[in-house]
Amino acid sequence: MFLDTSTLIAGSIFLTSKTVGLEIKDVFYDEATRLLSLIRKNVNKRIGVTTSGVEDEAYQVLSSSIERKLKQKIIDRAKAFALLSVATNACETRLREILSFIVREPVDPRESAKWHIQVAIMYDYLHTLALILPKPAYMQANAVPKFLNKTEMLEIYKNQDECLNAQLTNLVYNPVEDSDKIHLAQATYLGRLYKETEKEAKITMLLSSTDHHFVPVRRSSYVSRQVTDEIEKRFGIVADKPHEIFVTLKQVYKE
Amino acid sequence: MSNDDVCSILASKLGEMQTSRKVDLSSLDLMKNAIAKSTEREQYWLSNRDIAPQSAFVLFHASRNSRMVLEKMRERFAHALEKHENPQVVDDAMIVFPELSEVCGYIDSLQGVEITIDLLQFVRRKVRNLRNTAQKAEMWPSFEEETKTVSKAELAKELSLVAEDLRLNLL
Repeated sequence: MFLDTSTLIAGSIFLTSKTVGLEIKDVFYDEATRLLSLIRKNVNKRIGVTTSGVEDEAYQVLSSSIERKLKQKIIDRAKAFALLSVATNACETRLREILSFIVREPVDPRESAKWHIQVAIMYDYLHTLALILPKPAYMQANAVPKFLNKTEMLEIYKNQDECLNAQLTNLVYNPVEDSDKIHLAQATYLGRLYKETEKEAKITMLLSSTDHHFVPVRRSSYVSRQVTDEIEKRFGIVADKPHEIFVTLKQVYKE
Repeated sequence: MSNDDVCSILASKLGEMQTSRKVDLSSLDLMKNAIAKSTEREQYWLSNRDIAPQSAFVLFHASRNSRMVLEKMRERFAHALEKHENPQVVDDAMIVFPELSEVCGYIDSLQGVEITIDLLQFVRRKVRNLRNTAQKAEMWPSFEEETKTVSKAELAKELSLVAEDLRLNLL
């Protein structure tokens, strides 16, 4: 299973918070930490993999987030600097501890670059698709029986459309960063490599992330997963949020 | 005495101790000087209003971390005999010293220079490497020691804000 930046960072923040007696009650942190605990317990099975690029990015995102606090008005600079320095050291130390039980795989840059192009092509295709999405809500609202309020039904159908297409429209409003395309290319490269070397075993490459350009968007009872399905179809990678990956792995390892 | 002098005198003293396999307590004064120089660096970046606060913070953080390594080093040297850490403490200091003096050198060379994003990224990486090496060589304070001078409640508050910021940015 390939770990993306967000899972690693969430784990490091959660563990640091515990050190200072702060209990973060948030599903995002809780899910990532549970997944990391499972990987740690099964460290000999080498189920969690990442690359140096993801590691570097995790450190960068962490420091940017901490340093972003300095953009706000600071009353006591000496106190703020000291606190943020302690926070940086603590979070980075926890991140390093997490990385110690995750396999850092070397990546052939030429092979990974080939996959990067394929990933970019896929996102271009999906972006175009997002721009020309059909809007069936109007047609559906026009077809409702007379005893139903057409305006109300239109709103319901529009909301349904939005939820079901959320993953695609997200590509228009939040363009995929190149670093994320590289991560997907590297995960694909590693997945293919494992399949080639372990021909006898049935290998599924999972990708743990919270980025909606990888994992499905779940809103109320709707699931939007056009991008996730396309990733699986083209690259054989099953992308999902840490919790869903945790549930899958829990069954596999009978935890 | 310049920063370079402090570092090179301490480096040669550590070299001598490693050769003799014996802790020389006169090195404690040299370390005290080096700590004072690091504290000056911290103050310089803390009070520097000519650059963005984020840039000043990275260099303050680097200075603070080098000071903490030096303080831990001095503490271990001071108790080396009673804790039977002679000459292990010298070997540990020799592991961390090259990176420590490198970081100090970088911080000093950045005074009065235009600080670019790349330079900051470079310093962050160097500081991270220094901390990792210091932790391995037991030349890094424990979390309890490091947080002695800050309020845990305020630290928890900062962390909860960082956690919220990250959650919003990552989801």
